[in-house]
Amino acid sequence: MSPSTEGEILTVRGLSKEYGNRFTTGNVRALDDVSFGLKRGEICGLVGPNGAGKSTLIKLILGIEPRNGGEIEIDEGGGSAVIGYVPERPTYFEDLSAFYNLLYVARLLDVPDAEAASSKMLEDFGLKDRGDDIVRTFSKGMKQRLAIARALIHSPKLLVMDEPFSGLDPTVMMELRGYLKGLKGTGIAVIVSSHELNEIDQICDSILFIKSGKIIKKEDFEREGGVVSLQLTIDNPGKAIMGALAGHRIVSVSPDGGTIVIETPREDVPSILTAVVGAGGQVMESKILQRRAEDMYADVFMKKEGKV
Amino acid sequence: MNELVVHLKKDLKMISSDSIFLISMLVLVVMAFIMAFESSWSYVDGSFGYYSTLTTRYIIERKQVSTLDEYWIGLCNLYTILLTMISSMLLTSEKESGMMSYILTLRTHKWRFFLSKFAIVLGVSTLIAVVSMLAYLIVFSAMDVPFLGVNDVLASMLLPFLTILIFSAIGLAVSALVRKKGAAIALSVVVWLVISLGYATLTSMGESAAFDDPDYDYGTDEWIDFVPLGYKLLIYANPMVLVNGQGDYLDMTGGAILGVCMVIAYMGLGLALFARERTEQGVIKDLLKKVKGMSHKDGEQR
Repeated sequence: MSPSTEGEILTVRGLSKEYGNRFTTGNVRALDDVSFGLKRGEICGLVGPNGAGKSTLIKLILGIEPRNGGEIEIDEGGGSAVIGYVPERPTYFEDLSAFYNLLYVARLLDVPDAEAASSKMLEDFGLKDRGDDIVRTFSKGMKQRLAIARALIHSPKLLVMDEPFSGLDPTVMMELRGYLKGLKGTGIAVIVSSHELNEIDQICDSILFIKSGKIIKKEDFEREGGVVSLQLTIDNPGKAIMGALAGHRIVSVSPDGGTIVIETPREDVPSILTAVVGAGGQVMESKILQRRAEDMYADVFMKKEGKV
Repeated sequence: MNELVVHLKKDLKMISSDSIFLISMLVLVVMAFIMAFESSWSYVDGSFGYYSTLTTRYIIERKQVSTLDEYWIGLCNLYTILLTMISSMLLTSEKESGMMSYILTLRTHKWRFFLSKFAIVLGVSTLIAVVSMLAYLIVFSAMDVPFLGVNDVLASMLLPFLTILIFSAIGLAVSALVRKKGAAIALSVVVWLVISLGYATLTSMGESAAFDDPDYDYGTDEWIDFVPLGYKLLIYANPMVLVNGQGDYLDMTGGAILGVCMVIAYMGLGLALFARERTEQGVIKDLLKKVKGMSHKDGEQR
């Protein structure tokens, strides 16, 4: 079944999940009318407080838990051939080699030339020299890399990652971030469930906020039409500078005029800088302001609760 | 590659790298040789008092058949408990490590996953039966005595092999019930004890009931015909009857048919229990939660 929205690899409509049955009390409504879409190549962070329903949503997308209502449409038939999964705590056949752990999954998923694909994955993820070593001897970072390699071995269209940064040291986090950034442009859509907002900032194109089983909102890091907020710090503010910026939407100006924030299409940034410099402005700093995940999280969860 | 073959290759690789499994197999082989020596001593000792002092080929063969039967009975009593325990770890080891949950996310067919485990169980049971037979033949070949024909030797192996296989299937069913290896081993021991002691109790009570029957004539009647039907049904439902009940309750053909039916039944039970595998909890914990939920609901209503 293909998603109804063009370009979407994953469409979720009215999804609901309740734990418990008619014989038990205190049934928990883990998901309630959840709807969202994920485009091809989009990396989306799934963020919410503990118990929000993130893991339940992931299990339903993977099909390992039955849903009580709603639809999940995944492009090109769905099933494990399309989805790759990195669980929160990756598990392996610890007494078997890294190569065999990959080979087993590759064979199960009918990957052509499974041996060659497994070798290539080990190489791509810097595990070539450890391919014949048993997984029990691997460090946490190596196991995480192996988990991603295993999830990608069959070239999925959708990668689902549950708390991939949990318990990792900064070095491994940076490595993992690098691998995930490397997925941009490959066309693989990624859902990353994580509490690490800093990492979400650096790798995600959008954030999906979930709380108490409901989707609060889905927000893109970059606004529609590629509009960005450009902040200029100018050493010699004046009317000439302001004149150069006429025709652009000025969001704010500091009292001394030295810091100006302009909202403009990304492709106009070079011409704006040229115009300001041409008008005699001494640009000390220019940067594109982006709403950070922490700001979004605070807006969604903490301002509403009066905590900020 | 066929999914079943993929699972099977993985399982073979896992057991061949599992030191506990390899040690267990070694122990079973050693036990076979010990029992063979024990049986050979009994044979030589001539402790079959009901035979006459006149030795004929028929008597020698009857003595060997008895020795062989005693050998298998002794071995099966040990093998059944060990193999139930070993088989009970086949699924729980993957459940405990979390790999089963991951494998099930790959949308594999559960029945093929389970069948792969059963194939391992079948292979191990066959190997043990063959090794045990070889141990007996090796020990007795050193004794330079007239021996039974190949057909008799192989036929003696059939019901013990089925018994071993049935208990391995029971172990596999136990493995589908629980999540932890320790719990699986403990439960498999309990199940074995219930089956084993149950058989001993039922046969004892059945025989007593037969002898106590007023219509039974010790001199002319077969006591087996006077065992009440209820006892007989329970005895036939017990896997121990295949080895321990030969001659009294079963003949070879009946035993083979019953054995095959039991193998299929316990394999089906294991498959049915495994088919419920959906969460990481075992069936027992799931049931307990439901019962707690029901009693809590009752409490609230009061």
